Amino acid sequence: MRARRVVTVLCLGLLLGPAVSLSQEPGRPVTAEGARQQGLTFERQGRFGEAAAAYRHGLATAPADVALLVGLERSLARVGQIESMWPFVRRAVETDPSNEWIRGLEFRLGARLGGADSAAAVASRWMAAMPASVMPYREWGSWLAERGDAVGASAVLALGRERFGDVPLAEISAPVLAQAGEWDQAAHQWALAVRANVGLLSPAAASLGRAPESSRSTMLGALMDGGGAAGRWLASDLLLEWGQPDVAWTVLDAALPGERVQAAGLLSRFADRALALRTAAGAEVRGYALERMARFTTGPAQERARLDAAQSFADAGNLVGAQRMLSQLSWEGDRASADAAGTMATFIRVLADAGLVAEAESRYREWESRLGAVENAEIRGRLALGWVRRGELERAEGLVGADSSVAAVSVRGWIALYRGELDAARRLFREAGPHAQDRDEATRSTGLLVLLERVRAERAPDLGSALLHVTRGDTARGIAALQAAAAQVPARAGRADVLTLAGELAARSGALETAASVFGSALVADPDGPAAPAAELGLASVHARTGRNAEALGHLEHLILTYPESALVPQARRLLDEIRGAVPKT
Amino acid sequence: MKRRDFVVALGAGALSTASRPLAAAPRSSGAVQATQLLIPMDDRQTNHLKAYGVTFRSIKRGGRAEWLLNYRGGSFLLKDDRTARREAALEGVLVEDLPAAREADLRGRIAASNMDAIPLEKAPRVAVYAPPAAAPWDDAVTMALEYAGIAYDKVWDPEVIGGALPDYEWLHLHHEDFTGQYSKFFLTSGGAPWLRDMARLHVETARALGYSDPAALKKAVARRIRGYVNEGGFLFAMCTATETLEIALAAEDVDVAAEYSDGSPMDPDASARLRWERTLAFRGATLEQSPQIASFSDIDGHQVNHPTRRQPLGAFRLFNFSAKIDPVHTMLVQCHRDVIADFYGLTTSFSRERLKPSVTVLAEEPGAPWVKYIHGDFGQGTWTFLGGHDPEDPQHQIGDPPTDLSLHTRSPGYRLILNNVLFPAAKKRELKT
Repeated sequence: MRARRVVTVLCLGLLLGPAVSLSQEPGRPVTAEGARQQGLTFERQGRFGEAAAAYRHGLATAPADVALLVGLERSLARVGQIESMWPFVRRAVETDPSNEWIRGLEFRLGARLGGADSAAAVASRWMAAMPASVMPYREWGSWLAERGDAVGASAVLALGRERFGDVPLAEISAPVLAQAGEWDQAAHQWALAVRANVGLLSPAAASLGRAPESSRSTMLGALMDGGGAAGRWLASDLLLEWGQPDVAWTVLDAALPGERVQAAGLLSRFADRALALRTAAGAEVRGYALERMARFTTGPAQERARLDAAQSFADAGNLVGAQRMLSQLSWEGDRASADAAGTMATFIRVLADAGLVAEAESRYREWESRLGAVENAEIRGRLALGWVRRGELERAEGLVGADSSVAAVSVRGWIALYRGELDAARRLFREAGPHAQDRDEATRSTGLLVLLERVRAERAPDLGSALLHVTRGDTARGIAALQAAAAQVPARAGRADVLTLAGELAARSGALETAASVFGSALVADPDGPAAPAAELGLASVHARTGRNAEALGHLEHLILTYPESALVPQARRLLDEIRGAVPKT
Repeated sequence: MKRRDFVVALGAGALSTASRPLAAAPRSSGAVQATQLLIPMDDRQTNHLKAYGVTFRSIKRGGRAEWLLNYRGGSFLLKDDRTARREAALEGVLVEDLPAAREADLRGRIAASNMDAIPLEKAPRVAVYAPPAAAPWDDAVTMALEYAGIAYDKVWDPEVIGGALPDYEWLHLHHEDFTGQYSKFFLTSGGAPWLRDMARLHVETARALGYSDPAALKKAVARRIRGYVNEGGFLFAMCTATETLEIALAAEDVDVAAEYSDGSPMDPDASARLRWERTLAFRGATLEQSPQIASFSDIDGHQVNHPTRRQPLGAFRLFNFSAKIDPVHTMLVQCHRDVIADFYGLTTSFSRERLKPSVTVLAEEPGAPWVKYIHGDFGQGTWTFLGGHDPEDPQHQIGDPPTDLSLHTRSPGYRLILNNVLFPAAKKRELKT
């Protein structure tokens, strides 16, 4: 508060400054206002000695003028003569003994020049002179805390709380107690401070958020049991920060105030913080908070909250929640906006990715006309891929129809691949290019295109079927089927590549012994073929994961020295460094 | 090897190299054969940091190497052998064959330019001063050594007090706070478990070694380190170790530690009572009195943790020295970049007005009142200070993920660190005149 006022005075002075005559004759009586302006002008020019002289001059006529005193303090500090401030402060106190600002200045000066003993003496005089003021406790406690004397500060503030109660000093006491490691008491004080000023929620959470793990449980208990509603808001904030979003939401939901604006503010804050978690759990509780917020709002704001809630639920994979929110939206007229269509598109995608392809397609048919051309093509492709993943290749084919978009061409490539029509798949993937689907799909199709180039057969139904098992999530069956399909491919015309793919799938699924064996078979099938670096890197990686570092190092060194031009060499070097401990493990 | 002999000998090296006949390189009578392996250190190099490790290990195996100062970014010349080639290939370090005819040309160029060829003959024994539980990932030097594959030992207070330093040619100071105040994070991060553990370790170690508190122990350690340099050791310090080592040396009889550290507040008159004639690099500093501000003095130009004094980061420029006249300084600034982006540390830079007149500035921010990289002699040894914490993490914060040097294989800032490691390997040569 004081600092703000000083800043205001200073700004005012700076604005008025240019109007001041700098040629004022020394010794001539000046008004306090004139001295103030002259002092500020000198300060702005870096002439602190002259500024101090101007302020001193003004204090001769107005000894208790706070702006002059503060200016003098500033200027003397810059010229290293702060001790010469004393007579002016003493005179100001005598002139206006009940002025809190002057008392504060006296305290600051005493503390600065005389240390702890002097600070204590000045504070005691202030307390005696103004027994109804809480300020000396605040100033003294803050000063001690700044010096790192948390124990001393706690004692002073405890004295103040004894006299004035907890509330007036809660904002000061709380961080001091936190600094002293008194987390339960700090939590109590912060709850009081937040109750008086909900704007303190952020600093309170930041302060208590530093509590060591061992103290958190009891501290949360203190907030929940004795902190009232503000304590629960704070507890909810902390739980969210400490990675328990579901509990955080339950706590906040139960402590929401009835007052609409305050409740909406708390919910909005919670939703924003939950979004920052960037986790599914965070998205879900954000959805709940926004759903609740919709109850405290009306009109467009309510629609917005429901839309955002639906989006959050969809992001979290909570289809029921998303559906609930979508069902409450008004879709007619202007309100069926682009935002609503966007949310519905997200919902359809989520349904398709969750394997509920039939429901997704049904929703899509309802909304098809309201979606843009690009979005339509993308969703149709996604739905088709959904059918492909379920093994319903004809349905997928029917959905993309004669669509000539790259997404549709890519889907037709997948369909051909899973039917074992390798020639057609090669042609379609090449035609679709790398931007047909999202990044994951594009990476997969590019990888498979390399495999298809190596397996030169025109048709390989067993291989297509094995890949479909993998796509449908039946990895174990897929690996076995890939091994069986590999046996039908010539040793030096793709067998090692198929086995390497099987090994990579096995390694990814945690079947490390199987992976090692399959990679080994790949290396035997075609020891110096194009798949050898990938098989050797895969084998080294499996060895490293199972603690067989010597074997891993042997393979990596062989890979780097034998295939120096391979694109996998940087990865091999990275793994080599990790095993040796030369870089942090990722 | 004593620093004085070393420097005198290096000075002589300039003469001997300059006067070496161009035909001194071995010649083959038949087809041109590679007799040497050149590790270029200019922009063509694919992994500058690992190149130091390849060179270091080559010397360690007994192979002869040369440091070609100012030639293609400070390249290395190694005896061609299978092991060196294999290591370079594994580490991704670019090497070039240097046939005898090209070597003769090269030596001619070196003789005629501001370049020199410094023989590297003995891999120094390296010690890193770090607490026992310190992860390698929080100290730039340890990270560089680990990444380059340069062997080192860790030493800490018990080893230093126990007299282990003379066993090493090169000592690096982890970013330790030699004022014993736990980097002044005690009050702002008081509840953090890592800090509690650190404080407990320091207090227990101080008591076990017969000192009243960590501040007293650190002063004793600082004196030992100064003695090590005085007796001919090479000292390299970064970040806050630079500033606090100097404060601890200057404050032998003065309480410069906050109350939480040694039970008594800092002497209010501490700045005036410091004895700077006892230090290596700095003079006349004023200490930061507040125990809550993680800043130690006005030696640091950037004051990263001071709310009002903090200065923004710029870039620093390496000085160009005469390779034949100042080979030591030239070695320390070998780099493929002259201008390097600055990086914060608890001590980021060194105020010019706090430097002793004898200090050599190796890198500065032009026009700024601070410098970045300094070097000097003390007794028979040398010291080098580099401000900042991590050259590739300019805003490093506690708890940040470790820097992965495989993503910064060409880091010019890390090269400065590795120059220091290799510099004690340089061969001393007799002065001719």
